[in-house]
Amino acid sequence: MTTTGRHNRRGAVLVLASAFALASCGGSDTGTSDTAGTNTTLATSEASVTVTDQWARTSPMAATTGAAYMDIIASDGDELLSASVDASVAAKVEVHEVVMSGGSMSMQEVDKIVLPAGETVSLEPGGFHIMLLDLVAPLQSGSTIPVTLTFATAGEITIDVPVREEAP
Amino acid sequence: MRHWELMGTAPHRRTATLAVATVIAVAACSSSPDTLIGYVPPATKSVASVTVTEIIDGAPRPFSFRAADGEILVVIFGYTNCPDICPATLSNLKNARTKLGDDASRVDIAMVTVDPDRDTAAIMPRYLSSFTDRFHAVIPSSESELRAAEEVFQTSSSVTKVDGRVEVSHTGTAYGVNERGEVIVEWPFGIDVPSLVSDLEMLLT
Repeated sequence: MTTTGRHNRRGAVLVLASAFALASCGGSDTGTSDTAGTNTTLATSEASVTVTDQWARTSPMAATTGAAYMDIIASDGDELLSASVDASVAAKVEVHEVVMSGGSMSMQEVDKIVLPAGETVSLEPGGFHIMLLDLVAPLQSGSTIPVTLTFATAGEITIDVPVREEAP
Repeated sequence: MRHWELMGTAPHRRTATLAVATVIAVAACSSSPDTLIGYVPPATKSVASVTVTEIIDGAPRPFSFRAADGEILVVIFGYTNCPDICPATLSNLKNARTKLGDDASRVDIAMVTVDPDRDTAAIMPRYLSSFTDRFHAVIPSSESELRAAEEVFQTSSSVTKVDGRVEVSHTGTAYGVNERGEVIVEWPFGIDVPSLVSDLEMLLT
């Protein structure tokens, strides 16, 4: 798994007014993006597990699945066993990994994500993700989803995951 | 260890400063590029010979993988229940088109569903409209039509049912097709937006 220990936060991103009005189920106008890098509540730390830069992608129209991403670091080592959301968001939540086989990509559910001590493990597009199945409604940009993560040692941690068009 | 590099999500993300204006002016690259960042097929890869089915206003129409004059057609293979790869690629393409300013209208996007059983005419166009105003929702009318398209692009996919769950496998590559129906560049999954913009600008000049 990847070990991306660094995250260069973007500088302030100015709000754009776009001439191209693209429809989006996220509910946000095309081209608008919130200011990034200044949200001090992104990090959640409990026991020895810290979750940062969590985000879920805004849903395209007609999508029934969603994905949430984040960086996790367990200072003493741990394992992410599962995740859950309220039934009003999605019927089922699974932890998946994208695997490559001869150029083709597919997902497979994983029993756990191992978190080596002190190593940042990234759940990011093309890699691990928390998959939300059977979304009740499209994920709207600007909203927040509480996601409960279950760790082998640290137990349950609930984080607020902002829904965004792209990674923070 | 990954088998591939995810440039799109690398920690070395550039800080972009965007000017607010009626016409979006972006300075993602300071100099004009002379080589494409994406992969250039060494031999001519012609994809125009295959006719597939796209949905226009709810009705099936024949479609060939060929850009209109002066345009680039970007082709991807995927499915709408894809939670990760497809939305990521389409989101990057959306961002890249936005950064092209006026030239965005010269970038057309075709998505071929590898899961036509579930990606119906009611679903695919709506899905794509979330990312782009120029799109072709290609829903192959038969497996042989899908395989014919995959063969000319040299890609593959599979849809299998396991324990009542549908599992889909497909490539994450985005193919840039020109007016002659040739694949002139292939962007691997994860290529970052500035690279896409650079390549598209170069192809559109």
